[in-house]
Amino acid sequence: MHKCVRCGRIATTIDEINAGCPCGSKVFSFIREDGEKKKSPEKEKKAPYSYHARSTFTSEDVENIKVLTEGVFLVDINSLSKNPVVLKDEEGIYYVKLPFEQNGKPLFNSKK
Amino acid sequence: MLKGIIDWLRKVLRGKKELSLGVYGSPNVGKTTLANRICVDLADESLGAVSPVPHETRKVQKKEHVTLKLKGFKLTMSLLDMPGIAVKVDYRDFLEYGLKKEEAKKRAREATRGVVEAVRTMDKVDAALFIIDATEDPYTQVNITIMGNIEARDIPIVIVANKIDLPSANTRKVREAFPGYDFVEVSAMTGENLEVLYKEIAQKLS
Repeated sequence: MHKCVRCGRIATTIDEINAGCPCGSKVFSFIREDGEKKKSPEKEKKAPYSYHARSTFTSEDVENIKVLTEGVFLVDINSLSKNPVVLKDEEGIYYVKLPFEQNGKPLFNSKK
Repeated sequence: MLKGIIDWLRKVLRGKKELSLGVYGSPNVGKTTLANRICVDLADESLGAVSPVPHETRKVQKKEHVTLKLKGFKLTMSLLDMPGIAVKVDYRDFLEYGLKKEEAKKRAREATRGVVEAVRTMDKVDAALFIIDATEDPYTQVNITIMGNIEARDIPIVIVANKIDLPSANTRKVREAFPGYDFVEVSAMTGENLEVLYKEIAQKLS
């Protein structure tokens, strides 16, 4: 909400702010309402998306590299020896590095 | 039980199982539509569900005893419909099709597992159909990488430009992207040109 800095009157619409306060002032300060004020500290307290739950591999996981948080990775070495590299980022998006085998051949070598 | 043992002995004595034909490509290029068309034509039943939502096929679908008969030629094979191969699977792409967040995340996980399975199954196929959506740009990282892998394994391959029933299809561009390969343009949806594809398959697997 917006409050006149001179008389303290609350302006509820954009038209009131544009027209200025009846006291003659045109300066308003923005004040967060109670609900809004509480939101940000709560968000800050939260751990970044169940960090500890993600710091292990389970049989459900298809990825062999997890991004736990920025710059922190967890790698499943056993899986990497058998499967393509599959990385899961913090948002749950998967990236697959397809193996690229050429055996020394040019990729588009004609077969005919 | 006895029949199973006889079948097994027959396979061992022949020295090899049925030849297998893998259907590869990116998601939503029409792999399952084509596999269904082939299965209905040659084995009287379809193989898997199709959907506009990407990654509908998330496991390798196998249809055995698919018999291809052409003039004086007969071949029985297994058809393997592969999950679409992608380098990125983003659950948010599924949200726009109405899936809830948890469903979308589950689908993304299964789809990624499917990609891994499709790549690993490359070692088990005797020939491959590489399906390309003729309405899209063929020069993608996925297409080039899949082709490289199939080529490196010396697997006979037929490039199949699909969706020629659509006005925006550009088969010339697909042909130019992969010069020197056997090439067929089809519509899996309408069945157009399938007989040409069957001749190519017969040549590759015979």
